[in-house]
Amino acid sequence: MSQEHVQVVVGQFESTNARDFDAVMEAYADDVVLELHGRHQTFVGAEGAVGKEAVGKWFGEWFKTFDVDYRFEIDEARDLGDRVLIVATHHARGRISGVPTTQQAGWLYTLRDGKVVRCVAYPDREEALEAAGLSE
Amino acid sequence: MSQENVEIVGRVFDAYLSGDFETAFALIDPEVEFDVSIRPEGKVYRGHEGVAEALRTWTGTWEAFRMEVEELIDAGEHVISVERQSGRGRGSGLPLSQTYFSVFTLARGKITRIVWLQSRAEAFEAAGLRE
Repeated sequence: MSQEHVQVVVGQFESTNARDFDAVMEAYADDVVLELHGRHQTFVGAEGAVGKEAVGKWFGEWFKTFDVDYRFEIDEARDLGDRVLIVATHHARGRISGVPTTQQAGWLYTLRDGKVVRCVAYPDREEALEAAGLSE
Repeated sequence: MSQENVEIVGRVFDAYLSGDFETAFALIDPEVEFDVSIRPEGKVYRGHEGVAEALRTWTGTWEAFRMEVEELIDAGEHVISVERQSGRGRGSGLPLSQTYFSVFTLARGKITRIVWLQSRAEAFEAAGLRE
């Protein structure tokens, strides 16, 4: 089952890269929660979101800060049972400046019945690993 | 040089809005002054931690806070930004939308001062421009 969880989450990133947002939304449970931790607390949208529609809207607003050619590259995907740790780098150009940017972040997903019920963003790999109890 | 300043401010907004604080703070002088005297706390914040505190304080008064940069205006050593901020008041839940003006001062490729102002005329005057 847990390897299926990894596939659900990795598939969500791949669907984002393919701009298949219906598939992205399909992976969320209706009561999904998005949280932001660490330095992200200063971020516009730091309060996160509750519920499928609100989480989808949150990501939509975030993607709007980039030019249209943004994409994610998954650096690491770990099966943690009902949780999945993702370390991903997004490549984008700033919407305002047009300057290319690359940023790595950590994500910890919790799944239930094959759907994402919790998504927590960490500003870097180390914080995500620590939160998952996997500090190196 | 001044077009370069516009690009620097644009990069800082891009980085801030996307959550990339390393990039944002790399372009902000560690001794920066952030003058938000127009806000209720009427304060000038200093340094990177001051900027972070000012932003946390401000966004903490909103729910579903969003910011769009509508315009960046080249004013030599200054850059004026026109920002549309929207969301709901925390507690009241009332929808809010307001335009703010910031004047950035730059030196040696970094932002050294930011002042928030409420009107375009004030921003132009602070940047030494006339409309």
